[in-house]
Amino acid sequence: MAALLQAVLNGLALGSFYGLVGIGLAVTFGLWGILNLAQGEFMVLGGYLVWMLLGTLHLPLPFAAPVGIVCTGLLMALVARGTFHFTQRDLVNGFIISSGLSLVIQNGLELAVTGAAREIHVPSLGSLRVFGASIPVLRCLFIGLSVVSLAAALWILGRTRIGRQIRAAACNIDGAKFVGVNADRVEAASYVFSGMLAALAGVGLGVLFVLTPYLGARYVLKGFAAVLLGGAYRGLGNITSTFVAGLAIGLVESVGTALTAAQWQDLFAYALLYAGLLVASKAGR
Amino acid sequence: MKSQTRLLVIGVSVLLGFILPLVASEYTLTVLSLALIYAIIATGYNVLFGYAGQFSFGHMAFAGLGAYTCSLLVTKGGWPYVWALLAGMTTVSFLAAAVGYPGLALRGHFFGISTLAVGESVVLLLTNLERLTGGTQGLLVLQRPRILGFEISSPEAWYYTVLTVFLCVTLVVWIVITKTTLGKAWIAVRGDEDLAEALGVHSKVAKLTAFVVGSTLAALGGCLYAPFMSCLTPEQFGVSGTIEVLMMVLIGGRGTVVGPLLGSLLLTWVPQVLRMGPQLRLVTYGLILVVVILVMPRGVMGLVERRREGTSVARVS
Repeated sequence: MAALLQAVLNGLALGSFYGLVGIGLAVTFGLWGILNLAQGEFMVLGGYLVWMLLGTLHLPLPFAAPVGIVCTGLLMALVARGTFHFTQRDLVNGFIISSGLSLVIQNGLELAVTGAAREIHVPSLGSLRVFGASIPVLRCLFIGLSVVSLAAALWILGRTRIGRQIRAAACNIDGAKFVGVNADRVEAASYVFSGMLAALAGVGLGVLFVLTPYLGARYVLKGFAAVLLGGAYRGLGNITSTFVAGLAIGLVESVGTALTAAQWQDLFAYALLYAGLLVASKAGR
Repeated sequence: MKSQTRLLVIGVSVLLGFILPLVASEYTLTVLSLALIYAIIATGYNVLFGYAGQFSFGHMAFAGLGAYTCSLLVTKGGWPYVWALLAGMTTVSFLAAAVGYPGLALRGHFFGISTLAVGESVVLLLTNLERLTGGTQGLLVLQRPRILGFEISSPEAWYYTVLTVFLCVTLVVWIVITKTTLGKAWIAVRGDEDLAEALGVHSKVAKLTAFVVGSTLAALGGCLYAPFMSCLTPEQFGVSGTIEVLMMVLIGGRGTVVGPLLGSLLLTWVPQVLRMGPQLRLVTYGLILVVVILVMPRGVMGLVERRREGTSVARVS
């Protein structure tokens, strides 16, 4: 029982990472048809930025984390303006460009900060004991924070001016332009948004686990699986279902691993993806 | 005139390919052989992606399955190389059919995307079935293959073998694409799946055959790769390996006969030339990739065709 509870909690934490990366992917994919393989690298980059702000400037975390996250968002928008902007709706070329970017960021990071594992040090805040399972408070905080980010994302998309413009552009870019939506601004906003979500996951990674330059690929593949699995039910780019799918993948991995052996972790995720796609296709979507 | 010029160019290149070992160093020949092996795998991907318009993230996984099957039959089963190679290809074609068939219910890009699961699962299996595959330690394939009684061991012998296989593969693919209904069905499905169906093309058959043919060619490349490198490790057959092959097809020019060769030559050669420490090299490699796609979105062959037509790339290729 305790072990199962532990596995469920670990799964939710893992799933939050997949969900956050997945939302970021879903936004740029839904809007611009860009499958951004470099999303995972921006996640790691965000984590490293915060780590550097803490280590070199000795800023406190509540200040360093938002600054690092916003900077990553801006950086992503800047990079996207120079690259993805020219491959809008070109799935394949956008994908290739993003894999080029991912090579550049991965190896650039390794050159800049070496491949050594880094941690973002925070007070551990102890653990809760529930039914004999020990549950780290930080992990719960992170899960809570990602749910809050999802809520914030939904609020921004649903209730604000830029959010309405983003949704309009996602429906029909030409129609949106016709009624006065500034497409370039929407593009910049969507990438800032996507980059910030990635960086939030990166900070979580640095706090809960460790950062290394090559971590991105794992998370982006799972995030991508979350987009597909979520998209299979509610249409590609739906952020709520993407986040839920991310949680589901994390849960299945974690519980599956607890029942068998750690080396098969990824197999569970991919089996879920494949099964989900097939079920969705049988349902006629 | 155009087809005559083209024939002349092809003839001269093939001739150059065959007399190259007289002047090139052993190092050059080894790099070229590797590039040609990749060109075979990339040609398979070109069938699937360039002509039939379907993604696959499991392409290198099939190459790996072929390579491992062939090597295990040679090293542990004591089979002759050629039989093991054929067995590897057959196994993979059946596996590809089995994996691809349920995926056919998925429309559009989802068909290929479902292979993401296949690609990574194969690597996991190869890594974790240690007793059979050697796991991350790798599988040693030290036997020199014998083809028609000749032992293939010197760089020249390897180069000629691989070149011949590559030319045969390319020729067969070219004939299928230009002369048969199957090839036309592939291209029709790439253009518009619904429209193709409406015109009487059986799109599921087209997709499945493209998947099986592409994967089998990948297996052929894998079977050649195994004794050439004499060591197999699982990670090179993962999704990142497939992305590398995808890039070869894209940079060379998707849906063109020569594209895969150009792409694999470039992507095998450039890393050898850019000998500047692995990280800096990969950064440069990534930047080149971004620039190449932004400047010539249809690959090198796209650039050639655009020049020939003297117009913008209006042609759907």
